[in-house]
Amino acid sequence: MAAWKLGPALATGNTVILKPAEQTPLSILYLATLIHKAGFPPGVVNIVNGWGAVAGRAIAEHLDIDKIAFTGSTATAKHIMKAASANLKNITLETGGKSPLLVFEDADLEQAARWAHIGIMCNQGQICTATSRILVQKSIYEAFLDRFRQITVETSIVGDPFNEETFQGPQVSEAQFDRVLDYINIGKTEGARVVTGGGQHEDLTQGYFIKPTIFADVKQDMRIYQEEIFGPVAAVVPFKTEQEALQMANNSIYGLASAVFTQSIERAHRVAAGIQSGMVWINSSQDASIHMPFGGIKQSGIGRELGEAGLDAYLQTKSVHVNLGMKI
Amino acid sequence: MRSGPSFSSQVMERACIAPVRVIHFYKYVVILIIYCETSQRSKEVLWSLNFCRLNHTGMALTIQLTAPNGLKISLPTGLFINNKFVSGSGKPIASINPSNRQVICAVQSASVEDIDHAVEVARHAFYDSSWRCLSSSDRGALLFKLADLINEEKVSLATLEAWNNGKPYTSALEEDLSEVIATIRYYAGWADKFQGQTMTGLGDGLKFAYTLREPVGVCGQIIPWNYPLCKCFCVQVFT
Repeated sequence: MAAWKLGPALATGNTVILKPAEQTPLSILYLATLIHKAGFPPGVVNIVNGWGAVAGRAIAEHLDIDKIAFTGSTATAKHIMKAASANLKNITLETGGKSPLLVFEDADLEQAARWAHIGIMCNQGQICTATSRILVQKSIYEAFLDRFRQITVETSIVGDPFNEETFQGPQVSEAQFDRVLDYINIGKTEGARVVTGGGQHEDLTQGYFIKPTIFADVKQDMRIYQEEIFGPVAAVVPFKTEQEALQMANNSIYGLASAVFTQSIERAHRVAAGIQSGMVWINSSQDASIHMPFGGIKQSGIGRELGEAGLDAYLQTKSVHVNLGMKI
Repeated sequence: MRSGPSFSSQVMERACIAPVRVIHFYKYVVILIIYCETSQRSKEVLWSLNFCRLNHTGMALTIQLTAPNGLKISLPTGLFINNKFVSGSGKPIASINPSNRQVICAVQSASVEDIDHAVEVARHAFYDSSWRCLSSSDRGALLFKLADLINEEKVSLATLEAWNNGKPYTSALEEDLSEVIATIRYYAGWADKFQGQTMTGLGDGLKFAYTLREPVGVCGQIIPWNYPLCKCFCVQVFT
């Protein structure tokens, strides 16, 4: 996300202090070597690795920082927001999601299954906008599940990131690995049906590798339906009517992204208007664009990145009034 | 001339010998002397030539890495403040390869005091004429230049991304890095195209008003581990 943050901040004339995540400090250090080469004046871009509890907190609390932009978990964002209140910082947050993907009976089922796979299995399932709740109309439920399972098994080759055949690498850290495995066990305990996957990859125990997992027959009150897992784990649920689908889709504290699969233009736009979400994909998933606003509502964040809207996060408006002759 | 237990322990870990005592000469270590004490009475002296820059805590500010794909990368480990890499006084961060749970290297981290320093620098830079008085088009030109440099270095950047994050290298190179370059270029284009508004015909014609759109100031940006450089839009994966 460095590019999403540096781009608008620098284009609008701000100066920045950017802190990478403690799990992934390396690529940004290399990027930092290019800042001076590009010709930015000293102090315009500062890149500091640090522990969240120390450097992250210091940034959020600092009385001489005017704005904070954070991408991460909803839980951490709440701490950031509290800390930022010290000097009423301008704040934008891009946080968690449990985005729904709705498949109606008139959808192109093959395409719905393929996009649903991308929607949750890309990037090891570690995507804020992952369409991890898949709601399928009852009449096509088993047919969809079967095709979704087949595509997952064929496409999600788990392995070494430097192997060209690999689709899914390891989870980023031991903590995330344990977290995802915990949720898989929770899903089993809650009574969801394991269609494929269901645990650690037995042949790749040297790293944090997890089998892409699909749960079916998930209920709305299950934790794997409501809570963000942030791993290659999909929760598939049947619905009967459009009204029920919308109610189920909106039954979430999150509202980051969503997807609707239907061949009816009327239904597509009607459902897009009814979903509580910052973004809607009609007949796709994850194919956003840098030209369009990106961000969520409810507990998925505040403000927008990307597009012209992304500039607003880094600009403030000053009104100047000119008296052309009014005397008092 | 200093000896640093922290550097010693790192050498110990990397060289898998114990215990060691390291003596530094000047800021630039020309000769690294390591001697192993196998007993109280005997010592073995090993000589190793190692050119690296060390900071006051003994941690290398630049390290040489060989990635799993064979690529050799020279990587700074310090804090990038005021266009220089400086040491951090926080607890170092061990960067792990999630494919095999091994430590790739350690990097320096910022303490509260380091953040204070960075903020001071960023505040000064915000008001300095070198940035404040730069034309909007020239600001855009700097971003275009940055995008071009990222494009030239995309193999190294994608390698580090895949190595540290665990995402497939092909995705990092063809998707993430493509989006990084596109995003920087997109905003480079915006630099000289946003403006305020004017309002005329106010107050019986005796008032004119306009808005200025100004930068907010010093911005703290905290980025996540799932897409450190840039979020990619996964469509290219599906063919």
